[in-house]
Amino acid sequence: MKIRGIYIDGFGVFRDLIISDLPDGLALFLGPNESGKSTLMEFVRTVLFGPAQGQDANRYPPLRGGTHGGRLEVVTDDGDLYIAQRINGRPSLRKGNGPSEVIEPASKLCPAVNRQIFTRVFAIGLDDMRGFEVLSGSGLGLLAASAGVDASGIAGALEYLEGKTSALLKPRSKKGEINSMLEKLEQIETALCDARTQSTEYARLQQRLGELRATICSLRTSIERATSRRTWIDALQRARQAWITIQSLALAQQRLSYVKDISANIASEHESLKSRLSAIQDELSDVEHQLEKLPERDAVLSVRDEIIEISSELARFREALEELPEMTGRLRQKEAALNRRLRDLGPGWNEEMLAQADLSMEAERECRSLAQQVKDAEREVEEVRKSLKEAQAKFTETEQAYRNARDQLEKRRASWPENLEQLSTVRELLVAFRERRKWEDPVHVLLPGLLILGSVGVILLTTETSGWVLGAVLVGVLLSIYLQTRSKSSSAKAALLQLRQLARGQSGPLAECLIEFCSRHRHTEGDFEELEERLKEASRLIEEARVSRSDVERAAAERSKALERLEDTKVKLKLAEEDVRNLHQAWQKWLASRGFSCSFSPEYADTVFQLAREAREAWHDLGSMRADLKRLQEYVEVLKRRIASVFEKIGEPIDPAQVSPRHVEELADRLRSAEEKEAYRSHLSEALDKKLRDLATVKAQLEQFYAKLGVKDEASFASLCEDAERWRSNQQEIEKAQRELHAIAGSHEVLSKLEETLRSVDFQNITAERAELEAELPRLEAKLEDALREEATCEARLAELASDEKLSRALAERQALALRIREAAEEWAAHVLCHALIAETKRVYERERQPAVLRTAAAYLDGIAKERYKLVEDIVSGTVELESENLSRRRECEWSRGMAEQVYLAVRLAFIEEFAREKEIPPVILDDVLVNCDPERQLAVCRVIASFAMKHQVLVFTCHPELADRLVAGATQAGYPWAIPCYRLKDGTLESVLEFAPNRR
Amino acid sequence: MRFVHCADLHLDSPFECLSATNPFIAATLREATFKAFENVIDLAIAREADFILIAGDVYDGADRSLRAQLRFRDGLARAAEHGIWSFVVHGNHDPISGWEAGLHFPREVVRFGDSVDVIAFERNGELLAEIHGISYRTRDTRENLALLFRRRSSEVPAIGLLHCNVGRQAGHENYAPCDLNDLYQTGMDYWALGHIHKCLVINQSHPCIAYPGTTQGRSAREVGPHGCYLVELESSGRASNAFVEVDGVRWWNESVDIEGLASLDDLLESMRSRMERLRIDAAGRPSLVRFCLTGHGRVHRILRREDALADILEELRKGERDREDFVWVDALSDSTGNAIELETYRDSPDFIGELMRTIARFRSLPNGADALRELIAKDHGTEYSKVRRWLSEETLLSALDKAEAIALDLLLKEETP
Repeated sequence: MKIRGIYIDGFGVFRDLIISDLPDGLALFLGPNESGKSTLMEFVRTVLFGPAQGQDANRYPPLRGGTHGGRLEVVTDDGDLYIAQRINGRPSLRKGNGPSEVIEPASKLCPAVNRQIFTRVFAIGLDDMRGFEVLSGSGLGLLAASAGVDASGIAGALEYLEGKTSALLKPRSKKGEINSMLEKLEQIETALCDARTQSTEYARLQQRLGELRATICSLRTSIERATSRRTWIDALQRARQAWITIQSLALAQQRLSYVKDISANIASEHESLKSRLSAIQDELSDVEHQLEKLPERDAVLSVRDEIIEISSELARFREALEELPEMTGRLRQKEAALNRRLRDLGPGWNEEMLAQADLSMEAERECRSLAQQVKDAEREVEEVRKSLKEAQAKFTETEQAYRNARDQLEKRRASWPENLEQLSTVRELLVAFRERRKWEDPVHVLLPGLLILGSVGVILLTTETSGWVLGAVLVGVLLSIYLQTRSKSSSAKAALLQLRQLARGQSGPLAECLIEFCSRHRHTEGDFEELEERLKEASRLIEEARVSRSDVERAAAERSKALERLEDTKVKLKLAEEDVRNLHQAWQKWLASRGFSCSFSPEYADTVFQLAREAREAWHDLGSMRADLKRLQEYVEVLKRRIASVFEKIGEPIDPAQVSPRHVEELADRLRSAEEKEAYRSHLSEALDKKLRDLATVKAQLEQFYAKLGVKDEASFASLCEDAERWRSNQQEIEKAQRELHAIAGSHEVLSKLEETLRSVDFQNITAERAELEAELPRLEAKLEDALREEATCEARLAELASDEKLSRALAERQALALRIREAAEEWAAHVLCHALIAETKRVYERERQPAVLRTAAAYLDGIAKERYKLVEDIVSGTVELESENLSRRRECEWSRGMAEQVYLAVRLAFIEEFAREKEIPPVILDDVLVNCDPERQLAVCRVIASFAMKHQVLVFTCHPELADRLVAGATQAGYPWAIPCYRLKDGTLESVLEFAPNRR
Repeated sequence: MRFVHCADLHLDSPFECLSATNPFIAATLREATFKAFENVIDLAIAREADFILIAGDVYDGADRSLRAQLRFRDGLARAAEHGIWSFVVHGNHDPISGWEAGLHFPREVVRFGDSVDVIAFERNGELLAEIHGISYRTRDTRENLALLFRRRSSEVPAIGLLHCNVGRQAGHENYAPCDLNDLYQTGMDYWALGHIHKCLVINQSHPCIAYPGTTQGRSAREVGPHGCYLVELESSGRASNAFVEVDGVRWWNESVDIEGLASLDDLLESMRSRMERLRIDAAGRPSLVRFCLTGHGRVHRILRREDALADILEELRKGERDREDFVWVDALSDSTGNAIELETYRDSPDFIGELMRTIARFRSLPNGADALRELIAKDHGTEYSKVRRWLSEETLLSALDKAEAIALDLLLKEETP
């Protein structure tokens, strides 16, 4: 595949770039740095393969406008023309004039090459050539680079796979993942073997359990039998003693059989009779003794009814005694209260008057009316008196004001002048003098005179008419002024004279001051001002004196008015006092007529009636209380006398005044005590009679008792009782033994059997039998216990087996583990296979392809290097080395940069050769890949490139103009047959196109 | 007449489940087969069945557990308490020789021996059906047992109970193989078969011949609902059977295509929505699911990271522990590839092309598995001997596919997006 034309719409610095008619062989693109060579290479890469992975589709944006992208015109090896286009990242391909197809152009044009291979092998720049790291590491780098695989891919992959397989499974260790799982599986299998025996064990255990249960049943029967026999023997042994006791006592009972019917209570019955007899005798003597000790009959019993009657009055008597002082006290309080009310009513009031006074409503109304009149009259007298006092005070006040005003007026009259007219005349004279006195000054006379003289002189000296006229006017004016001045000066003197005369006619300070002023020869302005001040003062004094005179007149008028009012008030007071006296006399008359005290004042008319009524009510209460008290006192006196008479009757007289409730109580107590003693006496008498009767009864009973038993006396009765007691004791012993036997037997049937056995048994034999049983039983019990224990164990184990999930768990675990092992084994196999396949592929690749590539590369290198080198693959290390003619080898790390780049270039060209044998390949683009070579080596490389370009299209990009010459020279040497176009690029534009014909040069 | 037909209970046999030992689901899985069997008994009681037919493989032969035998006995005893009879034949997994626990079954439980027996089933003195059955004496029973069956009475329906492989179906051990004609010729009205773990009606018309399948799926191969038949058999011999789901835990096998998924979140979202759908399908049961990630896409690069699958697994299991109807992701396998066009490399003359051609060469060999064994054993003979039993032909070919994926991932690292 060859590029025929390049058309760029906009890509980096390029805009509307057109490069057409590119040759099939070599083409040179020359331009300085930044002229766009690398951009052009990237354009070719991008249009054919698209942007690199992870890069923006619109990389290299059109800096100078235009649509991003462009197209390439390519011709395939088959001669077909294709237009590969990529506009704004969208690819398309068109064959000839056919329709466009949206497809990655390279996928159709050179499907065996991807962008990675193209970038690393076909379109290489200086950076790609400098990629030492591409080949570093191991010799596989060369292979990898040529194989389109990541540099460290194969080695890294093999290393990873080895690690992975080793981690999964180790040949002899247990640490691998699968190893440990296999080991675990073995353990599970062992556990499973154990668990699988569960069913067998269950069946066996069930059988054993059946046997055990039968054994247990048999053992229990044997034990029960032995235990039962032993119990029987024990019963016989226990019953033996009782049996013997019964047999021996039976004989004694036969002898005493005559008393068997005598009751066991007979003795107690006898004893009871005896004790009763004795007790009655004791009681009898005791009663007699008590009767003797009782005292004589008390006298109070004779006045019993009176004492009872008085005692019934005791409560009332006591209340009366308590109430008497209390009532007296209340009476005193009432009396005091009544007295207080009487005092409140006023002096002269007593109980008699209170009873007589008319307290009716009519009297009250009259009293109130009359009292009101008196009060009104008294109030009027009071008001007139008050007015009199006020009139008196007013008169005193006006009298005082009048005197004060008169004194003030006298004080004003002491100063001059008398009136304001004179003072005004003085002021006018003074003003006239002040105005005219300055004309008296000589200057005022001399100056106009001199001016006149001067004017006359001028007139005289001037000969012209106008001078005369002017001089005459001036003289006239000055003359007039002079005359005026003289007139005024004389007027001032006249005024001063007149002033002095006026002052001499007066007295006082102002007059003295004026005289002194007039007597001066010279008067200053200060003198005038001082005099002016004096005049003002005099004017003010005259004004004040005028005001004082009017004040005196007014005060005199007010004083005469006050005096008049005072006289009127005095007359009014006399009349009012007369009225009051008359009313008081009427009041006293009314009081006498109604029975009231004369001390009753009218002012209390409102309250006296109320108070008098209350006092009368209290007086009534007091009367009833006095009657009650009297009745109570009479009752107490009567009762006391009755009590005293009772005491007199019983022979213990007392003073009636000293009688108190205590005496009544004393009488009652004594009566009660006497009655009790009397009752006791009669009781004792009755008891004595009863005891005598009881004694006779008991004696008769005792005699009947002896007769019934057939004994004569108490001694023979005692012998009978002794025999009866012995018989009973024997009988109890026999019954006890029989009970014991019954208890041992437990039932009547067994008792019969027991008694039968006891009659015939040999106790020596059964003792031996018991010893044997005693030894046998523990053995049987031990066997039973063992069997029970084993039964429990069996049952537990059966239950355990029934609920045991061991097998289930182990199976589940094995199943899960087997799955995991299978997965892990598959993974291991996959990794082992992967490793083996990569290794195998590497081997095949190296064997079948790599040597041819290396051979071709060596041939190219041979044309470049000064020495003859051979590219050799070291089989052991898998690296590529350079072997010189003397067979010395240089490893990759020992190559110089220039040498390394030559090797890489040679290898790439060789790889392309190999690739091109089977596949369509893209053109080769070399971007300044020779800069690290010396000129001689550059020429050699150019020769190789030219010879390579005879088979494949090669586009050489450079910024070194001399390289163009070397390329042409190299092409010439290589016999390159065609012209070489040289496209000069500058700043993103195609500057010129030259064409070299190497064969001609 | 109504009866329940079930088979292949495989009581207490383990699940083929990678996470079977996980404490969370271990107990559920251990109980699952029992739960399914209990559901069968409950069904018979609830629907007042006359009897239950169990067509072999009550549990797994050598790995039978005592617990399984006891639970089986107890289940049948419970049915017997309700007057329901049980007829049992033993198959290859539970031949007669395998019953060792010496258990006593109720009177209503009939276990057929190693020769064809005929049991006349009566109800209240009325003869309702005759039931023919035969058990395997040993596991490896290869004779055609169907030929031993012959109908006796034509008055009542006849039922055949047999554990066999009808038509020698592939993928199943060929025990007691027989043909459909062998069954027809016996004159039975209903053939209650066992052995095939998938619900399968071989003949719906007369005579009805059916496999109910296993009552509980126990591996990712036995996905979907499992159960038994509730059969109504008329006196004329016409039968109608309805499938009833009884499984305690349900298996699912799901594949998720990563194509078009931009991120791990998209992948998780897709898987979670799939899980929710499965939860609904399982109708309240717990479920186990295996996801296989397939296709080519950008997510592949994420999946190739160390522990990526384990992380996804953990993420998907979150929240499931709190639910009774959990959907537990048992395993997650990655069969995804790069989003690259492998065809580009397949013909390229470079190393990758060479590698792919080498792999293709192995794949095309007629005895490719042997060649692969040889290739593995060449440098890893000792290790291979340890894992030989786990590497079947199928596994080796699968390993080759994985090897190719691994190689491409390793060598084309920079090409991946």
